[in-house]
Amino acid sequence: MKRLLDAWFAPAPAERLAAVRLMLGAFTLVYLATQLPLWFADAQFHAGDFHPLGVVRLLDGPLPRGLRLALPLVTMGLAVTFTLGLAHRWLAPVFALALLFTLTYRNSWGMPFHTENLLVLHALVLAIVPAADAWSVDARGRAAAAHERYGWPLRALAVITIIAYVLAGIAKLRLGGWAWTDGDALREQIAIDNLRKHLMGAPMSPIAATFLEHTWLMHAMAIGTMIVELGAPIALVHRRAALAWSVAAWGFHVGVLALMAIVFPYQLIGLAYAPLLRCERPIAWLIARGRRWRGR
Amino acid sequence: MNATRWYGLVVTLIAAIAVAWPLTRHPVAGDSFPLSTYPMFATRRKDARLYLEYVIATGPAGARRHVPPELVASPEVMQAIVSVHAAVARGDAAGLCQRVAARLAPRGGYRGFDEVQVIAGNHRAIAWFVRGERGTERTLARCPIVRGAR
Repeated sequence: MKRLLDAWFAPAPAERLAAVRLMLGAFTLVYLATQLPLWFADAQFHAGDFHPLGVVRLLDGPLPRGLRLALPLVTMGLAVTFTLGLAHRWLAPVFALALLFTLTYRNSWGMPFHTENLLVLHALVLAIVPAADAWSVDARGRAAAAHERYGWPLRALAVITIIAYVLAGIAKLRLGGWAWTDGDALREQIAIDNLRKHLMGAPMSPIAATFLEHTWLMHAMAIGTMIVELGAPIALVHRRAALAWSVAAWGFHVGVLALMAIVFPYQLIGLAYAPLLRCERPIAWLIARGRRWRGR
Repeated sequence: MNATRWYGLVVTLIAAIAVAWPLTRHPVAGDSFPLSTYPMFATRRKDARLYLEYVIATGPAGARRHVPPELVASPEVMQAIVSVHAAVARGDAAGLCQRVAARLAPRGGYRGFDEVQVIAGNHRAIAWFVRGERGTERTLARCPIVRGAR
């Protein structure tokens, strides 16, 4: 037990946790900005289509238009303070709750998406840990030494990612049993999803039809999917296993993009797996390059 | 154990239990946000059968174009599908048709089209892509694209 606890609380550099904060905050800002047209699409927010989920169940009905439009804008403002690491202890929880409410509200019209869950869950954890002890306005250039208080939050974020994948695998087993791995369900899903997009006048995968002709490919992809999802806990065993699993999971989302034109942005950019990796290194490299450039 | 470890344990356990909690719910009916059962791609769809209501623009000489989701209801395909289905279910197919027609009227890309139709389609998706087989369609509402009127 002691060894397990020591491993869980192994020290990590403050910069690694700060890197996750920086990337998540910047991602949220850009993501919400690209989604703004959706918030202005009044036709989407027909009162009859309002099916509140999660925290949005607290509402009696849809928000007035002005308040609805304020949601992403306020959250974007808070994303700036979160990214900068400004008054993190006070403003980060407000940001995380705003993001939770904003994205839950957006998911309360028709059907829940599964592309934003990890973003929100990671933000909620980052908001209550010392993620602004480096590379932040709060730190003001001070360097914090590696400490266990920066290690466990990264592992908690990783556990959230891993459980999400395992749940996806379990859902397939609960609904289709091991027969899901024969590839028929995946083939049907890919065909239906692409036809749905075609009939709705939206872009569909240019290669799906070719794949649908080869049932053995679907079989192989279904097995691969199940291995990635149910095998996710292996990422906690060792750093190399974490890297290998992250690449495999990322590849799964590339496959989903290629075959169904479904974008999981948080996963495709790699942020979902950042807590498993030495994600501070690219940022440290960029900062060093910037300093060298300024020093010339 | 020091305070950091207690705090870390409590936060980790709460987060892990919360994220795993949807296991106690039905994978499809119990889905929510952000705590999800992640049921995507999990269900069998016999014959890959797809019943769907959608909107098309038609013109002379058989011109036909599927109207994209952002001009129907929402830039998100799935939310647009739900909006179209909800409109049809509440008997508002004609209203939806007119709203879409009004949006298409000023658009140059739809100059060659003069009518909007709300369609209920019944297709088999694999047969559609692999063998080129089209299913059946039924027109639920049709309305003209009126141009020049303010």
